[in-house]
Amino acid sequence: MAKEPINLYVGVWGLLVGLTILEIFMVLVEMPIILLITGVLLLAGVKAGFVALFYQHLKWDDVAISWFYLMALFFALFIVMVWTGGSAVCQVEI
Amino acid sequence: MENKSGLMRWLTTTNHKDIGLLYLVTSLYFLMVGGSLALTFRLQLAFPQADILSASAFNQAITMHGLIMVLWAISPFAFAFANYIVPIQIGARDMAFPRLNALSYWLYLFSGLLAALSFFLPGGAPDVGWTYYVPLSTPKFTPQPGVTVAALALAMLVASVTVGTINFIVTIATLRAPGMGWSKLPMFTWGILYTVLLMLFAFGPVAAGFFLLAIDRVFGTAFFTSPEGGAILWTHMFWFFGHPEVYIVLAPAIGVVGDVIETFTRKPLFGRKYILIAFGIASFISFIVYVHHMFATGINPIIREVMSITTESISVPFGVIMLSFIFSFYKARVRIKTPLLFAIGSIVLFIVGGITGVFNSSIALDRFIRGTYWVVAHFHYAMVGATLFGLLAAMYYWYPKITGKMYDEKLGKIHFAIAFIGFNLLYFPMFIIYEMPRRVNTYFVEEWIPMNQLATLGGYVFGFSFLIMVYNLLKSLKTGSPAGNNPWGAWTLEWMTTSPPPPHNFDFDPMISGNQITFYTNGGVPHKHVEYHTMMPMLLSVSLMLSFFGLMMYTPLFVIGAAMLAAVLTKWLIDDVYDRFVIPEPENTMKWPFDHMNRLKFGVWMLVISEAMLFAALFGAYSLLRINLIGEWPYGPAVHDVRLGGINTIILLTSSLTVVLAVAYAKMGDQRKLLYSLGATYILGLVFLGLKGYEWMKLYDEGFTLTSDLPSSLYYVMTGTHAAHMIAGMIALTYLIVKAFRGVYNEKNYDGVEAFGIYWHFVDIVWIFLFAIFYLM
Amino acid sequence: MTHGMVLQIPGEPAGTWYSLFNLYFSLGLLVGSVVVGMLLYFVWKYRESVSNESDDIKPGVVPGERSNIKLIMVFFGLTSIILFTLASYSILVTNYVEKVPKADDIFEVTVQGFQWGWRFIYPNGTEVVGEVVVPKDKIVVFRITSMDVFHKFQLIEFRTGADALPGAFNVIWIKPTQAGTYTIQCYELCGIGHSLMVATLRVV
Repeated sequence: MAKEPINLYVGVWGLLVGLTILEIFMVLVEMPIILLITGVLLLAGVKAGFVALFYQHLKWDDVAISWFYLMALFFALFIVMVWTGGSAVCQVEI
Repeated sequence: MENKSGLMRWLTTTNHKDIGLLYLVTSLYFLMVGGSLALTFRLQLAFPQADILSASAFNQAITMHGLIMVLWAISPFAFAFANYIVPIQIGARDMAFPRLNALSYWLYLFSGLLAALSFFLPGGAPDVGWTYYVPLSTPKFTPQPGVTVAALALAMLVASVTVGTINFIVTIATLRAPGMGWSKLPMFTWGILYTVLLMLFAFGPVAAGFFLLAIDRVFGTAFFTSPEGGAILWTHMFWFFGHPEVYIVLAPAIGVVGDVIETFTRKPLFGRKYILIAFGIASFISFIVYVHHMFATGINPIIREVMSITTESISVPFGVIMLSFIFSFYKARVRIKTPLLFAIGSIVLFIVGGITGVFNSSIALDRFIRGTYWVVAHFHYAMVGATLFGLLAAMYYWYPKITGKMYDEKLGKIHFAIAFIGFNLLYFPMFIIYEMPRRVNTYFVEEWIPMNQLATLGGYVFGFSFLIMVYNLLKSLKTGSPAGNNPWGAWTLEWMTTSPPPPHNFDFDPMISGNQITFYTNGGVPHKHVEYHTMMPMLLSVSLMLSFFGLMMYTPLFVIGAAMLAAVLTKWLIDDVYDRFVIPEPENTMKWPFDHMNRLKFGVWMLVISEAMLFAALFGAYSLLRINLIGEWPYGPAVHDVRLGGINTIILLTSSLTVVLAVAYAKMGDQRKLLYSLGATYILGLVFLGLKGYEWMKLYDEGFTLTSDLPSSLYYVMTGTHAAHMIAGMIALTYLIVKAFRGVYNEKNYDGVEAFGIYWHFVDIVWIFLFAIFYLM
Repeated sequence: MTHGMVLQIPGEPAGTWYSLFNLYFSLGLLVGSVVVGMLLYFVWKYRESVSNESDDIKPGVVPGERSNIKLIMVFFGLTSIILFTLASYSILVTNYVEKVPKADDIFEVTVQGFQWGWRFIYPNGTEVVGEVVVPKDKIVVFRITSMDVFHKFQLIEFRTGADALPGAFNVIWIKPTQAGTYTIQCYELCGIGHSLMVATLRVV
């Protein structure tokens, strides 16, 4: 990176702010809760992805670091899925 | 700097070999403490309805035995050798962060002392089992302060482990001698690498668990007392760590056994590549099997069945590893020396422990076996048998290297024989009386008496065998014959320097060309060694211990500890501002696949990964409690001000922009804009925290308090944890601004700004999700 | 109060449990003995004083690879087959143990664990502490919960049990075929009275 992509950074910032406003807008229009939850989590994921890719320089850095990140992401999803799925005690049918 | 001597040397050292020795002595001390506890309660169990320990004392003894042995004895015992040997094996002068290495040790020592201190508090040490199952460990059932103090000690240990993990990953990944590719790393270094990778991902969730438990106990929240699955939540949080922990304990021993087999069979390890692949697969699977500790809880049958199958399948890679070890002896030249005997013992005991563990993977069998002596016998075969025997092999194998003296071979073999017999006498009878419940201090079944007595006898024999070792090793310090550089004829790098090695390990830097280990000649001028000494790691650990202890027992002590902590941190940062502790970035080392990483950036990345796991567990707790909440979970926008939250989000996103610009300006050498960007970040951070504080106060006025209900407790704890991370970031930022004022950042030197940015953006990412789950849904 | 090693099987699911346990035990014993035997044989056969093999470890030389991919695949295949066998039978038995058999006449008892004892609530609402009486040759279902902390309700002779969790119910079943007195005990550390948290199961 001989020349620093300052315009790109500012552009990403604009996108992040835009997505945040979109999130708030989704709440204000009062859509069905399932749609809202899915949409909001999806948008949060996209925002986090942009921060990681451009601000944390993953796009330009060693790929191995991205693997560490993806591993943590995998475990995070695993934890959320297993813990929610494994919360209720099973009721054996009688 | 000056060379210190005597006590001051040990208090201020940052040399990895000194720290290794400190670890060795301390872990042996804790091994003795844990062992004595075991011998005490074995005595109680030798007779039915015996009255040696009261029920309470018995529970304290087994709890502290488990905690001390797993966390303060056996793993640090492995890290004694890791500290001493790994940097030499990879041809490095020291660890990547020598000062943090010292910090790891001192945090470990004082956390252990803090845990042991709980014995002397009113109500005694924790008596809830080392697994700390809730609701038993919540204040309603165990109000005594010892339970909290030990939990805080554990938090301190997690800090030590995290610092150590980062240090070892960075060291092994980036400080390898030129030519030392991954395939040429010795087995022990591989074992430690797998250990720290497991630690990196495993310790975050348990830290989160103990953090929530401490908040429950200190501030009266109800994460673990609520009927919404508090008990299940704890088992998830604990066992997500608990299962990989078994492999964390085991992996160094497998590494040692690999090195020892190679040296004493005089042949390359059979299927070395496949052992390493299998080891990697097993390490990964170890994270997705943990529900087998929860089969009897009756949670979702699909999850249990899947984890039952993954548990069975983890035996396959271990089968490959063990069979490869065994085939290493085929057509070899086996030199039967003490280290090899312990290595063989480790393999045999691991096979027994592994096979008996397969029983627990079956849900049908485990429904009965869980909580019985079968489990006790099984995991002691794995964790004491396989691991401790492997580490004793390391003790004898590297003793000549560390001391320069040879131990008494005959006494070593006697030690092995007595230890092996004593061990089996201790644990094998437990398989025979596998119906017996564990953790009972008394029993009424006559058929259980003989086996219990045999086990107690075995325990004392096993304990006695260690006296032989201590005698042997102490005696040989004085009378042992000189060992020479390479008494075993091994190939690895630690044997190519003197015994004991000089402070800087090698007079000339090693390198590997092809298969040959050679040394740079450097014009015949040997490396000039610089010793770094600092007392800050020790003082920091002491002040943390004081403040934790004071928090529970005596508030003035907390104030003193906290003040001391602040002073030590300030001194540490001032030392850095004046560059009093600069170790030049090594050149020419093998770094693939981390070629763009410098030590600082890589270290911060690893910190971010461990923090990510901590937050992952908090998000997991959030989703479990939200799904399970009896009654309606309050709709986010109805409780929280979405607009205010949105503005705060944008402020934090903007602060990320200013940080990334700061990095860019530093790279471009624009000092003025760098300072402006950093300053803007600081102000934005302050505004964010200010708005956050305003929101908190407003919510408190509305009766939405820390303890009012689960959603509010989660809100305060999760955003509070985030805020704490921001404050830590602001402290680092202050330091950066001071340094930037001094004009140290330029085109060549911008590591500090870049590393800070990675951390700050991570905190930003966490907030993006917190905003989504609390404000928007 | 005494109970010992189970000499005779008091009913289901103990019988099935033993068949599974015996499969694991015999295969485990077989594999363990072969593997340990092989290790000790190699160590003895190739000990330095009699071995004709060369010394391939040289100081300062990174040793080459010594492996045989076919043999590694054999290791992989053998362990996989053994574990596949065990896992399949285990899944069958697990489904059997975890699903209450269909029957017209099921005797259902609610179990409440507390510090430190067991309370049993019969279908007619009678509450008893410390002893539960159930009929022979009928499916008996226990609905288990806890009033305070984590316990584990264990029917020792019947080789089954389940955690007693506050705020949740866990279900296990037995089918006693032998009249007699059996032991119920807590198998999860629950405080200072843990060792004494026992009750009696009487089959009539």
